[in-house]
Amino acid sequence: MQQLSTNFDDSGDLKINDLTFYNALGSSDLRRQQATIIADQLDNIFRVGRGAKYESDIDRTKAIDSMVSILTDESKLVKDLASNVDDSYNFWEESK
Amino acid sequence: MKKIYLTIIIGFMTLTSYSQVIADKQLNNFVEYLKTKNVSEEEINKMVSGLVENPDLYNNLWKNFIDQALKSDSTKWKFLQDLNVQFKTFQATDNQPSALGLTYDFNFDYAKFSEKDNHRNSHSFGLTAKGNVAFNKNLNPTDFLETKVDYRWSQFFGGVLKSKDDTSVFTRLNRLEDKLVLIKDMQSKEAIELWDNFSNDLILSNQYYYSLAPKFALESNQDFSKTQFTPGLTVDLSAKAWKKNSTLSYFNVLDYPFAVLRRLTGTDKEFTIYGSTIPTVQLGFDYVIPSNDTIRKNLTGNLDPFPRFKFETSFRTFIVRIKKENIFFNANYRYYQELNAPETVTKSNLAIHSYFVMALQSTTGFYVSYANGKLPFDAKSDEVYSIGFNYKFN
Repeated sequence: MQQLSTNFDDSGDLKINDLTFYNALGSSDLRRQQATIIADQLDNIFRVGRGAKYESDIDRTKAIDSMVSILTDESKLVKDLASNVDDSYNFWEESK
Repeated sequence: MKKIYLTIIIGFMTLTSYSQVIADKQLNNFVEYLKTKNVSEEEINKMVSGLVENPDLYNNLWKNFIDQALKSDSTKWKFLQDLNVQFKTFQATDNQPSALGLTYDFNFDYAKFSEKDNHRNSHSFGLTAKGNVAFNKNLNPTDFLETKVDYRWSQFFGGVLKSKDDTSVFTRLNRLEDKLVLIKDMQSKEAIELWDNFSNDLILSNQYYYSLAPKFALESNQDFSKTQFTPGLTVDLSAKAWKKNSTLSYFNVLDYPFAVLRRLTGTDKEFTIYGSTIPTVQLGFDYVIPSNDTIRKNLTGNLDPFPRFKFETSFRTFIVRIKKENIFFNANYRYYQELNAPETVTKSNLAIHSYFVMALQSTTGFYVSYANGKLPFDAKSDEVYSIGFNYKFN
């Protein structure tokens, strides 16, 4: 997605504002929309492209909303996003 | 005045039972250390004054306050996570002294997301407040504050193509991912080959987004001597070309010089335009109702409402990775035009306002920025340079 240029080991510790979409100069309004577009695309990739399903207590609103909260918080890390995604989706071949 | 703000912040800390004022302690230690080195009192006073003028001091205090507040009661202070405050020194180029101040940006919204067969929707209600406040209001180069509530209806299309043979594709992607996790150099031949295989199975497509947002806003300068209400409609448009070398990505002309830089520095192995950095565009159609504006009243003889067009766009792209440091280019442009403005307003250069800011920013927070132009209520156009560090506040 051209958002980071590191390997998996290093990526977890990257801050959200190190991702290419996060423009600190834009208004928070535009930044939130960029984050929502990224969250929508991640949801697409997980479910349409990778066969993931929402966890039993999660729906699209909860999944996207929680991703947007992290993607608009510059202090959060990519591993925070990963942990959140893990809570929201049951991935293909993932044991419950 | 600056000391009052400093006191208020320290007061916040005290009121919330944070009596251990780390900054004071560090300052005292610093002064004691200088005394042991036989530095004169005059020199010490000069150094301490310099620290009081330094936005870093206030950023540290503010960060400390937020950290402590969230630690003590994360529910009560949760709204602080949506508030971004940055203390900075504003420096205009017309020989004015520099001004210490802050930029604030608060954004909260409640959204509901749903999906249909070929598109996804969202509805959201939002509250936004943003602006620059200089501790000496006469030295504020971007004296424009905006607070608004809005409702936003959005649609998303595309992004990923559904594969015909889902289950075997999902399994293959998992196997490829297992191998990619072990790769250390993402530009190595092996990694590129794995990524190529990965993108053959995970077929990304163009993603399109638009939204319509009726809104009601209050615009003012920092001492509220000029205020106006601006009901209106905002339209946002965005497109992302996620697939490498897709036709849409070649329309991202802003990324061309950076694609050249990435190729020259070896950051990218081949010339690649990033279709994911196509800027999002925001168009606004406002009905401006001035409520307090003596300059306009003097020019037009009244404070009649008027229509206004607004345009905003942001662009950010990746330039180079040096060791573990990523360098990004960021830019933002805002344009306001009063439609059918009276001649007196046009002649006074108050019918059109535009503001451009760009910055180079690194992973560790170092940035160099340049801003030019004026926003509504700014009497003149300024060039503003700033240099410093960005801090995370929670």
